[in-house]
Amino acid sequence: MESNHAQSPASARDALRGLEGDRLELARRTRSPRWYYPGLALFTAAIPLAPLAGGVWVFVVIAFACLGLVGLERAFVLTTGISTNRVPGPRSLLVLVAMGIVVLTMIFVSGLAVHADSTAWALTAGAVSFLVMFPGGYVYDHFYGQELRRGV
Amino acid sequence: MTTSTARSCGVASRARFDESIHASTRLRLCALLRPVDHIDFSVLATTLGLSDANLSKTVRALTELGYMSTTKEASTTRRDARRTTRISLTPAGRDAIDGHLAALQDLASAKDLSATATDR
Repeated sequence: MESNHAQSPASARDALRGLEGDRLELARRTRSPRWYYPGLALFTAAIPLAPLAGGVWVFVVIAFACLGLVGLERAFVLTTGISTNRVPGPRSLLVLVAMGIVVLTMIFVSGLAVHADSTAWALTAGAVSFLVMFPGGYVYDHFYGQELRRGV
Repeated sequence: MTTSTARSCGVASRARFDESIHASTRLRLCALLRPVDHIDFSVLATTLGLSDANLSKTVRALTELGYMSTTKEASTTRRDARRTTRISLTPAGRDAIDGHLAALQDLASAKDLSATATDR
């Protein structure tokens, strides 16, 4: 067994260095395809826009948006062969939480707006969700890749 | 490797050297699976530069240790009846790799500390 050699500081550094190339390759492979974030932004924006549909159609729109989001995730896994539902570090987590808070707030604002017969505010909530998710997704991807490469 | 590179693995875990995952292929495999949910067998083989037989043997050994699990799913890209195998770390495997990476970092930085002491 190589345990004596394996537990020397030099071999520990060698072992850790040997993982760096794999992390770079993993970060390259988990980069989202070009279509991913526009799709994510569209399906997410559909949720705050759903109250505008009125009646039972609200639930139909939300159901389709959720199915779209699940479908996107599934397409990502099929394309890359990797499921990345774990957040690798604090920066990507921060971006994810921030986007989640904005979208939840917009859903709340949209609900209030439709209740108050303000179509413009509901449309604005949908637009804000889209505009946050589209570039926000790329920002998340950037930090995700950075944290994967660094092994954070 | 510098201390900063050792730290860069960012493992905030109790250090525990695990002989069963220290061999290069096992360590790379576990470290690759650590930040994700699961990876397809073929992607792992390509990324690690291993033959299917070698990877299969390693995965089987780590599955027997309770560190890995595999699931099979119908493939949408294959025309034959073969299914895609997905590999993931179990919670025990995740603990093991976290502890092992922390132990390696401790070892790597121990050298740096002794070198610094010698310099003085």
